[in-house]
Amino acid sequence: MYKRKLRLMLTRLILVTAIPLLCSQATAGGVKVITNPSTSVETVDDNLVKNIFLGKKKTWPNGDHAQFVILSSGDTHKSFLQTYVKKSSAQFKNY
Amino acid sequence: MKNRMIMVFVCCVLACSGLFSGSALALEAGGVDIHGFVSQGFIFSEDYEYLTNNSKNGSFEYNEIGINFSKDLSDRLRLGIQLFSRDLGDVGNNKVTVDWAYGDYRVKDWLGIRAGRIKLPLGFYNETRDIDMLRTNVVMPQSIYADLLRDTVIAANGVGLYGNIDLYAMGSLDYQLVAGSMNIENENGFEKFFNVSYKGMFVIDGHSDSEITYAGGLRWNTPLDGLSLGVSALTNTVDSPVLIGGALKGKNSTDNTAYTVGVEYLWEDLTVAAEYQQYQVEYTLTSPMGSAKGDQTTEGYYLSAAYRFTDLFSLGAYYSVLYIDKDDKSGDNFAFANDAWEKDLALSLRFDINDYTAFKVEGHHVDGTARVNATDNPIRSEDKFLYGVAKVTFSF
Repeated sequence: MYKRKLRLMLTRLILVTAIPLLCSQATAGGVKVITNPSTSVETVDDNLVKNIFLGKKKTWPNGDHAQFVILSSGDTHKSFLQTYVKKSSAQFKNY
Repeated sequence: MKNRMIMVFVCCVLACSGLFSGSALALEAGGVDIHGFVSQGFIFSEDYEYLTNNSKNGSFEYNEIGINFSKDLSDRLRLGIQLFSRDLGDVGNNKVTVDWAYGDYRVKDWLGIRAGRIKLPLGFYNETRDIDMLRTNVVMPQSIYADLLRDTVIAANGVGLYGNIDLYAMGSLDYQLVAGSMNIENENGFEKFFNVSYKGMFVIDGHSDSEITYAGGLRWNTPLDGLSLGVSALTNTVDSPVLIGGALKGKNSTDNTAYTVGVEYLWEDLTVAAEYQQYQVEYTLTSPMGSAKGDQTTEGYYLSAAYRFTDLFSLGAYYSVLYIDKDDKSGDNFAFANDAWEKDLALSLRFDINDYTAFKVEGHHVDGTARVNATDNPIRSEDKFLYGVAKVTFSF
């Protein structure tokens, strides 16, 4: 219910960008999650990413407000949702 | 007439969203997010009228329509409301109801406060049962998610606390506590469910009242990626005027408690879930002739699995088991022995035509008549039957 719609404007930015993995273990749909350099966090684990995108967490560990952006469609978008959020694009848009 | 006008408005909003042109998108007006769905089904069954009162002939009286509005007033405060309407044979009849409506203030990630009409934690999926697009199956396992009770248990008017507690290496914990009053409306399925439960010993004869309902849920998101464990509980007291033996007026007071535990595992495109529930009822039947007490514990559980093969196609199945009285699983004390249980094997196909349109078709093989309505089906001597549903859902 928290994010029937994706918020695009950031205060503390998590920027989710598709970066095809170059290493040999990479899959075609591999993605990386990156944060804005001004963000105070040093590491972001999968669980934190999932909780932010599902609306369970609204802040970084230091209490700063966290918001995200996400691609709206495409294979990278689908791969990100499957890998990190565990939902299909249709499920995510209706969550 | 007013309800019809509102639903016409909902359909107009859906149409304006471009939904029917295949270019659906969410609406936003003045910072208010607007989302909605229209879900139309067809249900058919053999031997018994099931879920609806007219399924043997096939029925389109099987739909759900909703629209919701929400707005972030600040980083921490959010308001939202959902208007909902459904038709389930002679239940609902597309009367518009407030499904949920609340203000949500997030103090910390581990503490949020809600007030209004709040969804109730009852198993893993009660809070998302209005979102057909989230699941592969059409009919949820009736052992735990009885469709006749959907409108009664979806939410309560009151206050709640919720949050997500970081357990670091041990994962995280979601919790929710709610105290409030249920809206109990006979025409929304409660009366039929009540009469099924008591199999004609007495029938409801007026408006029921609920004392404060208390509900709580915990969900542990384990360190194993995709694995979560859950437990939830709900308790309340409901007083119902009843008619005993078709003539004697009385009152039935029930103390209800439901406990549910579950496990869910998500791995790539596979979703596996299992839940177990005990629903305990202690009732006191009072009439001019005296009073009588009784109790019953209903037991239900299911195992489900769904796999998304492609963006277009998903396959799901579940096996759901229900015993109305866990101490009488063979039905020795039931009018028809097969009223004591329901064992439902379901197979579902889902086709995602796009992100906003899904078509589902589903078949059920049912052993037992525990959820077969006695009023619609006075003779229930056949212990096994089949039914099927097809449904298309549009959402934006």
